[in-house]
Amino acid sequence: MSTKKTLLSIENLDASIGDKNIIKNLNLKIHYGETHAIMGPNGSGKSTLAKALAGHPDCKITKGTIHFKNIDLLTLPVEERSNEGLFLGFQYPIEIPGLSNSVFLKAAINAKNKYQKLNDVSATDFIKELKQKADMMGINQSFLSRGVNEGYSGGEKKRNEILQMLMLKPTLSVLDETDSGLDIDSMKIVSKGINSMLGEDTSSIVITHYERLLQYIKPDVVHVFHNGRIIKSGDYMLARELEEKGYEWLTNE
Amino acid sequence: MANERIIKELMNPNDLDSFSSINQENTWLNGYNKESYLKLLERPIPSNKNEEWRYTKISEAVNQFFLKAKENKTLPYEFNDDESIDDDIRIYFYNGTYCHQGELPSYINTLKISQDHPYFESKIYDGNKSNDSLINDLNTVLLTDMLSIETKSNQKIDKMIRIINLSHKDSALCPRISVKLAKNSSIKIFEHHQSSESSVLNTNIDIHLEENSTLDYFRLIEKQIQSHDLSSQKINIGENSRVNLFCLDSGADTSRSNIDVELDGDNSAITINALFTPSEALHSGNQLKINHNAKGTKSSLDFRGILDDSSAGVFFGKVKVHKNSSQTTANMSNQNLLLSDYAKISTKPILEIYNDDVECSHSATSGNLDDEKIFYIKSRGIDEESAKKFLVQSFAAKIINKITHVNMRETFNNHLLKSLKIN
Repeated sequence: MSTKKTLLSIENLDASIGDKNIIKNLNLKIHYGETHAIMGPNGSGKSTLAKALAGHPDCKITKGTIHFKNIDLLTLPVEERSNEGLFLGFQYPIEIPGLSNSVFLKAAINAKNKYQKLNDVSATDFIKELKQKADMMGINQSFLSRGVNEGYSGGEKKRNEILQMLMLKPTLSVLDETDSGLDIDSMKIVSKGINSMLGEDTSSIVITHYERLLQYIKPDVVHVFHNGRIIKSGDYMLARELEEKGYEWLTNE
Repeated sequence: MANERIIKELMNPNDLDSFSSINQENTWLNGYNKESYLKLLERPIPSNKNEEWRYTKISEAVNQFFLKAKENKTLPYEFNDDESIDDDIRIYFYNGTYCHQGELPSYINTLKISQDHPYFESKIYDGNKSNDSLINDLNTVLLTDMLSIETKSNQKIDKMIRIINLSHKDSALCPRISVKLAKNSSIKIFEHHQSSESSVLNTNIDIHLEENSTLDYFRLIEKQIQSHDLSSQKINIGENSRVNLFCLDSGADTSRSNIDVELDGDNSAITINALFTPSEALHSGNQLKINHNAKGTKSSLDFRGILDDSSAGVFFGKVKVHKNSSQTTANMSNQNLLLSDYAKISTKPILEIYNDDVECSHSATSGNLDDEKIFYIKSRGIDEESAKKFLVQSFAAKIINKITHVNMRETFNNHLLKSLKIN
């Protein structure tokens, strides 16, 4: 284990939204190839962590550091974090009527290519890959020319997040409650998408309330979040224990 | 209002006499010029406290109009050979005259070329009678030429008729257009105002449709520099006929479009989809008056404003459903996107309904770019400027995508991108 390279390192992090300090002295290290699940009751700061990583303007870092690929992440603007290989799967994906999915995704891929000093993606390669991955995510081809998330059901929005992730091929995916509001079939499809991304060079943080998703995506580490920090870490069995007992036995300690 | 000033008081007494000599070679037309001139001088100047004229610096526009009218010089338009790149019919308006290359089809006539003066006189007379307004008077004062497009029954014309107001400088111009569709006919018109400088443009359009006809009318007003662009459109629609109007206005010092629609025939319909995109300190004013005068009539108005810098926009829409106009459908919407803290919008959609058997709606919204949407786009690696551009485009796309004519959709989209600074 000790030879593994570190992808993400969070040290002594405090983050607030508005006047409220939400993340309190958080420490977390993620190596290449690892999947970490973050569980915890509502209001424990899980989504704030996702926002802090992606650089949401409402989220202010008041203390500590985040290093991603040994780069000081906090100095990077939102778009550069993405271009460096960080992906945030939104808990509530945003609808952008009038901006088509394929135009949006192509612009995103080309922005990343430009950042990495690569050429624009070829139109045919792009559309071929997009169609193939849309199929995998059970997204109808007609959706690709429709507005981003425009009029999508909750499940369709979440599958579209995973489609974006598959197209952008991030090094670290932070998936914020991607499983909430999904039926069993959608959950299987979403898990398939997430699993297809996992490898030696990629990692993910899966934020969830339920152990069910974790049955499909076997996490290497499970953390329990409470009051803005990790109060317990363990393996997959910890998630099963939480499913049975709830959080109280931990939060009351 | 007792203390309202009249136009005459705006003007330098020395300027008053310089207009009697227009069209001396054409005495019948000169009579109309003079008559409108005298009428105009007595017209009250609308105050900007008046809701219909808010943010519209009309006295400045009128002032400039008379100043520029004195400077007008006549230059013929020189045609380039590469202008006819497609099948469209092109008519150019330059220095008060309609010009074109080659022979015009029989359904298009201009006053200057036509020997049929009674035909044009009756159009001017009818137009002035039905449109007793400041803009119409201003138009008639300088009227020297007129364009008439008139179909015969059952005539369906596929070619686009392009009317191009060429760029002018230091000019006062009064294009006048009459469009008449006989029964079962259809036509497509694209009126394009190129960007002028230090000029006043005052367009008057009369549109009349008999039964079962369709008119697609596209109107593109490029950004006018230190200029005023006023226009008045009177539209009468007969039974089972329909007008589809698309407008894009990039603003002027004063840009003012008055559209008056009379849905006279049963089941007549109008659709107006419009974008106004003023920036800098420019203005775009849109006034609509729609009268549902018959049964089963439909109106659908969708206006979207994109306002940048310290620009100002106005939407004033009044839809009136008369007592016997049962089974009317009327929808009116004005949505605005303010890209700067200094941009202003005044919006007033009004419905006046005197019939129970109707389906009507109206709405108005104004807002800034949504920060959550910007964040979402940026989180996918796209920089802030491009993110904003996407959002503005997506806001405008709701209008642009309603243009089914492929060339026009592309033309409008290109001009939209050009007019948006964030491009």
